[in-house]
Amino acid sequence: MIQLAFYGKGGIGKSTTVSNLAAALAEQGHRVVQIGCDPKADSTLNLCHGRRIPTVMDTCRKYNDDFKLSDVVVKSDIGVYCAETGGPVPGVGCAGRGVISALEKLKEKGLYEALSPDVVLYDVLGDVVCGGFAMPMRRQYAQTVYILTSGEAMSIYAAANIAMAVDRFKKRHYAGLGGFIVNRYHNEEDIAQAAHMADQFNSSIVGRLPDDEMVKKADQAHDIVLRMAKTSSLAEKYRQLADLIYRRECGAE
Amino acid sequence: MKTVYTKIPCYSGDVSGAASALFELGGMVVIHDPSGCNSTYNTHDEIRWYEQESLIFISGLNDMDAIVGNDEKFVADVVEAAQSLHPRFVALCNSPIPYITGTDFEALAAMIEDQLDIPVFYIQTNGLHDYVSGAAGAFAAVAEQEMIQPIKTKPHSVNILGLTPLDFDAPGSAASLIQKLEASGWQVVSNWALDCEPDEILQAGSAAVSLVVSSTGWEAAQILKRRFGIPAVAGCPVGGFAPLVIDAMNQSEADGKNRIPYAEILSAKTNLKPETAVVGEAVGAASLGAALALDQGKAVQITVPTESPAALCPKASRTDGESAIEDRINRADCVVADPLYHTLLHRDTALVPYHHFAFSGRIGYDQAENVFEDSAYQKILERTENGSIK
Repeated sequence: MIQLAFYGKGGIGKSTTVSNLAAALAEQGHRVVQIGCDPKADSTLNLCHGRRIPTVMDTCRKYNDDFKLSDVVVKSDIGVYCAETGGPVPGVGCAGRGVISALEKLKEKGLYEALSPDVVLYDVLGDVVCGGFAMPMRRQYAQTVYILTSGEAMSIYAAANIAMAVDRFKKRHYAGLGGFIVNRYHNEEDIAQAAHMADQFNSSIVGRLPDDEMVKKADQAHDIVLRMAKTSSLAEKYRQLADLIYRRECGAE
Repeated sequence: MKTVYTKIPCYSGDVSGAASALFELGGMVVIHDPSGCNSTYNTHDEIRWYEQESLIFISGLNDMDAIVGNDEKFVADVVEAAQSLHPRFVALCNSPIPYITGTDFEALAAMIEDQLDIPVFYIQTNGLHDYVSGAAGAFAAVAEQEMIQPIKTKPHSVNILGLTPLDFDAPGSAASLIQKLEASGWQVVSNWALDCEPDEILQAGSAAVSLVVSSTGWEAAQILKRRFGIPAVAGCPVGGFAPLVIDAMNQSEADGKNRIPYAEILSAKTNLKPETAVVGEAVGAASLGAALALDQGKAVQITVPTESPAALCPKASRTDGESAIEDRINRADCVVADPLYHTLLHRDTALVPYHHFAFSGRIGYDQAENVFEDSAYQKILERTENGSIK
């Protein structure tokens, strides 16, 4: 089983990218689980045609422990199993602890045994603001972290912070840094900015996804590119990136 | 509100259970918690604390360390202490504050182990469970350690699992149990872990059977079964039930299967109104109850308020919450329980004291009975027959 965590500045397009990668991996015949690790619980929204699925935290709040795995994991029509950790009501509680508890609860409910996934993708809130949001990097979870960034300064700054956290967690035997994905790039200058930052972490750019109107259209239709415009060149880019990442993680690249 | 306790105390917490299980094993137990809490875990919950040395430490976590996640300080302190004290292993225990902040103890254990040449492991405590959960986790963690290696099985040899003073508080309990087993032709390979030698544990892989004398040893027994094929028998050899425990051990040695010999005895008369009730940890209470049922020929009801595994709890005996316990035990005429349970008993229900350190600590400790001694068991039997103390 391959487990990957995706981080990056809020609004950079993590959920869109992860959902399309998940769909591409599912297309290739892999059994894929996507887990949104964000109190907003919108990671899998477009995979599910805009339908909100019950989050683990909401379900725990309602039923305590009296629920089944199938109550919080939904299979989208494109074949990806979707789950959302959710979190506390905005303004109260502890969102980071919520991620920890939700991931533990999914494990306790048998997600990894029952679904036997080939690939698990953790789509994590914008930044590693506390221990809870580092949970997907922990030893028993993701093996590799991929960081999304654009060419904008604030995005690169956030990506560098996350890369520093990944580096600092090496001694804890956490996930390693797989590389950077440049999303919504406009020109080669954007790529160069990101590549410069990647160099500083002895890492590289593993994928580049252009700023494409198709993403916006799909989002407005509560859909993903791989379903709405499956023959588009952008869909093909997602497929190529998914394939590249999969092969890297299997040691074939 | 059903879990609110207003008349009786709750049982010792999971951290106390873990510390008690490991007390004599020569390791260093580090509880990540604010300074001052050692008295809760040890002086109050540990009868050996003033008599016997053990490397149990509290990290002295403060608010700023918790807020800023200063785990490096914890790691450095543990490494420094271990390098100077040379324990056999280091066990890390969680507590409510680092549990809520989500401290990754598996990672801290790995970081510490990278700097020491001894096993370092984490016991999943958090202060929200009872001692059974913590002690079970501690024994299970020990059972998983590579320092216990497969050795040629010694016929008629036994590991005693789940022996801590939180359940067996009367002095001499371990010696009496061992004597009883030896008198039945069984050689004790290892004792987990009261009045024991730490080296014994290393030989645990050579036992023919594991005798689980409390719920705290059941998980470790299953690990020893998985790793070395050693079957487990759950039960305490007390009173007229003792020969059945020995029989079960003989059978398990022959066929390699787990056995819980009290289960059948206690289920035989469950449709009758219980004349006697026994309250306590599952294996201890059920064994005593089975002995009383056999010796008196009466229906005995067991009430288990601890977090014992379902497999060890006689049917419908697991009871949560003070009011549920009160309702249940007052169906009997006579209740064998820790003396502090007297506050739950109705006027017509008699109490036979059976002190339980995990419940009342040093309160009433002078009434602790070593039930492995026939004279102590006889005293309980007679008091039960007389409908003793009101």
